[in-house]
Amino acid sequence: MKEKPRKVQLFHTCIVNEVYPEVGISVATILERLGVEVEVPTSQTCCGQPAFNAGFHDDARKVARHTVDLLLKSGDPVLIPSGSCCDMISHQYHMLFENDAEYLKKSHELSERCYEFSQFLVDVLGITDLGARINAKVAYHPSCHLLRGLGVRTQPKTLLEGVGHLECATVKDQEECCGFGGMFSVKNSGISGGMLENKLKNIQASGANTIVSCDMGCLMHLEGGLKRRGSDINVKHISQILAEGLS
Amino acid sequence: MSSSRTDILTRLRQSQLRAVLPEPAQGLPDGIAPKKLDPTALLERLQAEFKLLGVETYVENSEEAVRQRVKGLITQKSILSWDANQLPYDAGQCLEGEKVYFGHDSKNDQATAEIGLTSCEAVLAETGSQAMISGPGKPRTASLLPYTHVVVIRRSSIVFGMGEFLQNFKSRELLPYLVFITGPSRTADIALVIALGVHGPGKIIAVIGP
Amino acid sequence: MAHFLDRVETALRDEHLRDAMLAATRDLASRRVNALANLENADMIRDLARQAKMTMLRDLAGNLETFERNLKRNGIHVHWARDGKEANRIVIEIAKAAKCKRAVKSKSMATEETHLNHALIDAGLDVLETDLGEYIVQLADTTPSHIILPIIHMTRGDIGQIVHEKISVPYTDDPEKLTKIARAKLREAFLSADLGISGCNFGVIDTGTICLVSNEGNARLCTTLPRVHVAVMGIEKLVPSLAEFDWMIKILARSATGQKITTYTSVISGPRRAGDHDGPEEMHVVLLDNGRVNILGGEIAEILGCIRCGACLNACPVYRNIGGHAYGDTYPGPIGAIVTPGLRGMKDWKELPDASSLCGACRDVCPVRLDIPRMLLKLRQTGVEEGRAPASIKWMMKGFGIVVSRPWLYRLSARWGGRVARLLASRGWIHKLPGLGGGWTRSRDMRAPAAKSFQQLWKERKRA
Repeated sequence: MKEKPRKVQLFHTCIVNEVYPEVGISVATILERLGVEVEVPTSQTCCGQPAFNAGFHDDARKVARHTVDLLLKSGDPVLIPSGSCCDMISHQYHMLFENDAEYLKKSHELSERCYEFSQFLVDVLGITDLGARINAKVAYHPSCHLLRGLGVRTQPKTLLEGVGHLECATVKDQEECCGFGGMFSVKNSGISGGMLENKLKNIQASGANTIVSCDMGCLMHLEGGLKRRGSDINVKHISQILAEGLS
Repeated sequence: MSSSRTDILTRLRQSQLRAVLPEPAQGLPDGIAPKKLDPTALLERLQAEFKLLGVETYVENSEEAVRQRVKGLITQKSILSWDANQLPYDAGQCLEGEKVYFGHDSKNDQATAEIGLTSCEAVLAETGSQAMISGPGKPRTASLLPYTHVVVIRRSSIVFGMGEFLQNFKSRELLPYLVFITGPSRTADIALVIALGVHGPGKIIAVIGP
Repeated sequence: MAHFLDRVETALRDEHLRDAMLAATRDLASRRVNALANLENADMIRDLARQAKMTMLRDLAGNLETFERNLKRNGIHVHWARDGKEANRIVIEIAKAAKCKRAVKSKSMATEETHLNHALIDAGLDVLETDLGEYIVQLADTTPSHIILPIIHMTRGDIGQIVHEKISVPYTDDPEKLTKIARAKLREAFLSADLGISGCNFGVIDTGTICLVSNEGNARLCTTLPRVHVAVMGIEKLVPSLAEFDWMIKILARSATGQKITTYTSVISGPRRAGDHDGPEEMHVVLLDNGRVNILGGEIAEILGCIRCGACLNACPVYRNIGGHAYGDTYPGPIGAIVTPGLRGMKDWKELPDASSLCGACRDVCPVRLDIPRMLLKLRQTGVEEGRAPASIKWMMKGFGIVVSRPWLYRLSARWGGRVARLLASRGWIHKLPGLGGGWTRSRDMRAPAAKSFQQLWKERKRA
């Protein structure tokens, strides 16, 4: 069996850095508890997805080069607490660099070392039960790029099922997009709002008191929608549920 | 006209060079291996599919029983039929004494028939499809115009699926007008409610002989 | 025509439309899942089908020449049309030469693309759509909203009213009764028609064969009763042989409606032969380009492998919310968001590729595994490179690129940006954002940036 990594580089993502810093802390807390040292490269910024998705590949490429160079400095695995940003770096960078042999090679090298948080815990560390306990009825929202981009379907569920007293709610159309999609939610706000409404209706009908996901983009979107509707459902990154359940 | 042809083909040849298409996948088989089931299994599968499709099915174990069954189904009705010699088990005998139209009658007359009587080239057990080939003595209209379609099936003509059936049609010359008919004509266009007999038969009765 | 976003707003205001679309697409999507789960080797068949389509496209020109040769050998006349106008003119000329007066049509996306009906009517022919949904569409003088369920957006009440008004029968909203009414009405038309017009689901290259699928049987009637049959097909609809045709059939209906196979799968290799009782005396195939050549020569060539099952529509949360008409052209949903700009150019259609959250549900359900999100991203890139992005977004992205590739500038901007944002907030939440951000706050609030970034917290934690 391959030796388990003892150190990771945390690519915390811009949303976590600016809006949800506490998620970064809970991610680090869990990892340290599992004996994994966390290093935070200070020059990291954003993965470049906003520009990339909007079609501005030249602008996205600048950021991508910076990110690739930064994360390849160390040989440690890269841990990304967001399915979408992880998919961007692991897969979409290849498209950005399809005419740049040097960086294409580097991006492939990097992608082999990138892991989303739940994926890292379950697939790399082999953890399924952290011994956490929390009273909550949870609606898990599988974010699209985590699910369909990275193919991470079971890992988050495995971790949630390992949490004592936690009940997983059955959500209708669970795998349907919440309508975030970055610039999409701004440029096509009407459609995005309709998707958000469907999603929240289904979650509310499930009786859950907490939405858990592995992507702060979706959670920011869902939380904003809940706030607007005056709902008291919480949103939490999966690391927060685990960290709270351990304290 | 020919200039459009040349123009399209010329520009296509240029486009092809610039086409961004996925690299061929490695390790794919050449095709799907044909599936062979024993006759009992084939018949069982066919009956199960017919049931799902709402095809009324009779399995008869003698030629005489087939003829009796067919006679019972068509008697006293107006019929649009394949020529008698195109029907297996001498089922053509059942047409005697009945009001029958054939392929050579006018379309308007054919359209008045209540029942269509045909056989078929083969049936596909996997999907419950009749493989119907038209030709002299075998008008397409018989399985299309009347509201009820009675099809007499030779048990030996049951094959597993379309792939298994089409293997025999490698050569162009062997391929006439062919249609696979799977259950009654249907639509879900109105509010996703299934309605039968939109244009073709709303009812299909299969008589499977020995 | 109204702007895309206006059409979207109209659609979103239509509560009934949204409910109907959601119910119908969910139903179809779950049927699809069950149908594919029960197909042995489904994944392998999808891979094979994809491979067959892609291989065929690599030499589409050569394949078309072979196909043409084999069609001719089967006694089928072949015509080539660069665009819709030319295709319509060809059909009209065929009709005139054969002295046809009355045409019956079975459902065909290619002729929707060319607006053939209007052209035929202008040329003095009677034309009747015979697919039940398309017939209602024609009666109501509207356009289809779904590739395989044209009137998915109408209630049975709507339909009852249209039928009642247009063909003077007593009102009923009973689908079975409405179907019977249509059967009787259309049967008369079939018996008197002298021209049958169809599309083509698959053209089999090595046998020179046209394949049509339908559940109602109208395609069979259109190709059986009239004395002339014209099939209008996009040049990309080829498969090498009957073996590949079998793979396509295995996945087409399962992906579309969850049926194992459609009720009628017609495999037509020529006009009526000596001794035949029925079938057309004359058969024509019109090969339609109409922008497909351009699509092949670029980044979205893969889309030409589409077999028009509509699964991506049913899976698409955007389509579920806005329905088909908002897409503004023949092909709605994810497929339309690629095909329409591809066929008609980005100039008037650049909003379509933007109207996706890139959730990837379409790619998952596509029977031939078309990478729809990749193509949407490529079209967005093309739009930007052609200078079609609004200036505000362009400058925003330029700024983003500059700031985010320089860590010091990023930190500085984030700090100041955060301060400004917090000024707009009350108790940590922003309820209304100016400019582009107004799109966000239209239906959700925005959490204000945190007072301390993660990196600051992390430093403090390290020190402690």
